[in-house]
Amino acid sequence: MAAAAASKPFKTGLKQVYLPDHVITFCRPTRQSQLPQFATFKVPLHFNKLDMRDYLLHAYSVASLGVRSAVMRQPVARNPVTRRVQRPPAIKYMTVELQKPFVWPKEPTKEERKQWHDDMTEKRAELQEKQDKQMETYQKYGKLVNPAVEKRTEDRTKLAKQAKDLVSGAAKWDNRRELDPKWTES
Amino acid sequence: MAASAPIRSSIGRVLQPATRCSAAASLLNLPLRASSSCPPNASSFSTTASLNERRPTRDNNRLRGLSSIYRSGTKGRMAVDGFATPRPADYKPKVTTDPNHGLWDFFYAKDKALPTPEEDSQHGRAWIVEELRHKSWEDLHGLWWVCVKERNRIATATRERRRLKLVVGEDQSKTRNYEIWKTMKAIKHTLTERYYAWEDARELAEKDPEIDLSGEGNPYTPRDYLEEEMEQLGLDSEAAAQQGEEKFMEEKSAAESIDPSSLPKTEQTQSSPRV
Repeated sequence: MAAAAASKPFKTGLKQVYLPDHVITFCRPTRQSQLPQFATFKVPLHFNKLDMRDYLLHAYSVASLGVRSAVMRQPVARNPVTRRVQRPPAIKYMTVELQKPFVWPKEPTKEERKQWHDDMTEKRAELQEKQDKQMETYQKYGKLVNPAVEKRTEDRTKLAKQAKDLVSGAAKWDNRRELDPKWTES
Repeated sequence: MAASAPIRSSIGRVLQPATRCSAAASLLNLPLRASSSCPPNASSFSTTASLNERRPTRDNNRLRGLSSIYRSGTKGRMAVDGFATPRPADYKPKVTTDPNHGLWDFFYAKDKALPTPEEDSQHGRAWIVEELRHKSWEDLHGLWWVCVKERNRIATATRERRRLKLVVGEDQSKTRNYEIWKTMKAIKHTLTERYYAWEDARELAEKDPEIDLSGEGNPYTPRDYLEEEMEQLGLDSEAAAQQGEEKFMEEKSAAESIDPSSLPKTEQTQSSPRV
């Protein structure tokens, strides 16, 4: 900390906060295009850019070159307890430009995921998610399957296959009629 | 046909200064055949739409009609058309993270984004108030910051776990977080207690004649009751102190002489010192 304070790249604030109790979440970059020179954090709504810059310098000795902030409005949702429709509080994200790049550690592989749960649990979770989605679709469209992604009928599948064969040359078209020899292709 | 030839020529002369052949023809209500007298090279009228593309659109939108989805291509003719334009190389620089980077404090390990439930549940209990009462402010402040960083670490891991849709691990993480929360509460409790004690002490000190709160000189000048007595008797202060010590020892030894009768017998056999 002392070393970072000695090489302070900017002027820090003067107000001393002894017992801060806000929680800052480091978020993995969701966009592929985000460079390792940037780091995104979820911060409390009352945080400002200068707070963020000083916090990172003092608590983590991370020097930042710039801070960008965004307040994300949350979609209206039903309160699971009161069943009232309400909008959850907005979330503030801050993207910090770092002096030294930082690459996130890799996420667990499929083999490593078994340390959290076995295949059975994972399948159950998937099924649950599928059912939840189905329920949502039913409430929206009155159908268990979204009409936009409704499965093709068998006829359509067969027709598509025939057309594909015809185009590729695997099947030859024939209407079972004798053609005049002068019309036949050479 | 004979009459038509002079008419044609005269019309041609009439229309010569006005180059808008078709406009004149329509004005004179003549058949359009008359306009054929205009030589094709001299006519400035053109029905080709070659320059239509460059005409400004009605809303001045330069990109109207352009679509990457329908592959409409570039609208106007471009200088680079017909040349192979260079494409950016498929190159991504390899970035190595500094092993002493401060942001590693958001993780439990450098090769893992989040701890397994087993690792998460390996923790002790929270600090209790009684333990913290004996700690200095520096210790408490340091412990608070340890808690703050640990909470940040847990929040980061929780977000990552939810993103990866890992079912198990939420409870372990919550329990861990709760212990930290309890420690933080205990720290605040201790500090509040300390503040109240300080307030009471100050109130007492204001009443105490031995304590000077003005901030000048010695704040504490003890007034020993013995001093006054010694002065009355005309004795040395050192001798008085010695006397006082002896008296104290006597009292203690007297207390010890009383105690053994009340002590249980097992106490005598116990050889190891109590910790």
